[in-house]
Amino acid sequence: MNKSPINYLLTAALGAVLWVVFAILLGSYLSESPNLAEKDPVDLAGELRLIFGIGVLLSIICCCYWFYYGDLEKTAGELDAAKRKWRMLFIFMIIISVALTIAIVVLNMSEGIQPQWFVIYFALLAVLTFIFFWISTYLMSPRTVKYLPLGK
Amino acid sequence: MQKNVLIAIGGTGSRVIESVVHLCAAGLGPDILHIFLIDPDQGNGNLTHTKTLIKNYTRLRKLFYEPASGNPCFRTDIVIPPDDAFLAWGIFDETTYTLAKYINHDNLKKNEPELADLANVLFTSQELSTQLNEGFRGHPSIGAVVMANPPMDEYPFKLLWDDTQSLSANELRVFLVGSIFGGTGAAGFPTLGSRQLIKFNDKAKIAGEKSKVLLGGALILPYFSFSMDSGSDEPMFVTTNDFPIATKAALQYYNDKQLGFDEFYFIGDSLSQKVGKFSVGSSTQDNFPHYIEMISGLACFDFFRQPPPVEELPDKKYFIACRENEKLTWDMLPVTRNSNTMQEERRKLKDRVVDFTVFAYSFLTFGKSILSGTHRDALLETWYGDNFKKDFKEESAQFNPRHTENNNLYKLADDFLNDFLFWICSIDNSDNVELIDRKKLLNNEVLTRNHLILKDPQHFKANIGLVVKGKPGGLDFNSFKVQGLQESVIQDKSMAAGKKFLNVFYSGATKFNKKNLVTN
Repeated sequence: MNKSPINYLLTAALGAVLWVVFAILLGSYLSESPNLAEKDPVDLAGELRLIFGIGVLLSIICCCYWFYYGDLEKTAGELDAAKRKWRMLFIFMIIISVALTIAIVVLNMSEGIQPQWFVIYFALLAVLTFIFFWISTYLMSPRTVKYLPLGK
Repeated sequence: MQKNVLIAIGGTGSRVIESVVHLCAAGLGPDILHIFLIDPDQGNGNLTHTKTLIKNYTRLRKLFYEPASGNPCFRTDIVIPPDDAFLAWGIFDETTYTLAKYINHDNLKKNEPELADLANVLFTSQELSTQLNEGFRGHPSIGAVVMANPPMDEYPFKLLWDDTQSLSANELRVFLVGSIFGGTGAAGFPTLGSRQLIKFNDKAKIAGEKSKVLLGGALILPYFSFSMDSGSDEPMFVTTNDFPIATKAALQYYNDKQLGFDEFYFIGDSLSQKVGKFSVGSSTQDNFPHYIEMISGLACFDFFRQPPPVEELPDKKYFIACRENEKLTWDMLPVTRNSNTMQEERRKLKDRVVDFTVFAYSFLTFGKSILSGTHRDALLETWYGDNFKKDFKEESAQFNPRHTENNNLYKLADDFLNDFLFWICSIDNSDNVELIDRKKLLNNEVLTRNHLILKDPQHFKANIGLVVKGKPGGLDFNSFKVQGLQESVIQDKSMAAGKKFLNVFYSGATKFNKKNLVTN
């Protein structure tokens, strides 16, 4: 599972599955359940699909970069730097999830959506970004950097 | 079962033993090897060092060697006399012995003046009165007298005859090694090699001309030079100028005399590399190792490997090996007389020596830095985590490589591997020797025992892949970690963590060298 290209493909597939589940299968529920002042739930669903898509795509890119970096032999000689790099990517993913949640809030500020829905959107974005990144790198990091992800 | 005994005579003999021990450590020796030394100069630097080395080898082997691990290092069980004090026969009980005292010259003058006169004819007054506690100073005629009657029932000679009752003809392989051009070796070689002392000793005789002993010997011809201080005030000593004359005289003597040897190896070198400063003996006689000593060790292994002669009086056979030019490369080392296995044996020699070199270098640098850090920090390294994370228990020496109980192993390994690197790097003492490139391993130009300053492979990343001269492999230290250490996961849970740690590094070195093509 930590060998190239298996880890790249599995990560892409997992990201796609998560996006399908959250943005397509749960999309109607997530857009129709909140009370909207003017916006059509179909428009909200479209926004969520796009934002969730951006989140998961950035996560996949970060994972792939980590796999590529971890596969380089020179990385074996700079494991401290590699650990810092993983942390930076992880924090970047958290920032992305917060930023994308803010984007949803800004886009729907006048719709009067109850705050708990923004919490739910943030939770889903967290799964699609930094939690997905953590799980993917925890399970599928190249051997040289396999002990670097948090909690490993 | 065949018993192998190696007897080193004099300073050169000690140095050959040093090479033999290092080759055994690299995994090239026979299964069991009995060793002892002969040298009246008990304070001789070469002898002292070799004795320490042998003891370190046996101690380290006890802690490190694991037959089931597949690691060939230290596979040879080196057997020495039970008491360390008997590892070397010093010939004299006192340190102030002279030849005159040994033959009781004063009494002879009074009671048997004709014998005293004979002694005066055979020996100069200087030879009679010079103290022999620093060897025979290039005068083998003195040594031949005092070594003619060694105590065969006492250690170390007893080691020769222990457990030999059940041996058949030629099953006791005895190999003598010493220089032909000096004092002690030149005296001891023909004396111990005489027919009656070992070959047809009462303990060895079977019937008629049959003996349990197959006697071999390596006569080391001149091969080195040393720098002389002009102000030396020593009364009697040998210099490199005397070597050719001494050698010629000795060879003539061996040719005329019917000795007990079944096989001879004559080994020398005309490059005359310098091996240090001149010394008549004592602690100051501690020369740099030389590749001829390694070749002498290989001759010893070749002798022990031979099948027993089938005929009672086999035809004489001569085998010759030499450098093709001034350069000495791996492909020129005479490892066996058997041309069918020559390539295989050469390859094995190179594999084992290079593997052990990379093992020693990587452990003494990177390995020790990992051990000096914490377990938590070391877990960043995949090879470390794969080997030590799962079962780690802080308080258990079995699972914690930093446990204090493992420190003794590391200390012994540290000392021995330093010695090994000193040995192999000393051999690379000129542009003509193209074996291991010491410049890739050492920071200091001037070699001093126990003071090796090794280049940090984490800074000089390319060096570990370039240790073999003339064959740049191209892989660097990062590759060593990824393709060597990372591929060396030891599953054996019964192996203590300290031993496992060292084995991971050895395994990493072998895998890295294969990938780097330096051992192919």
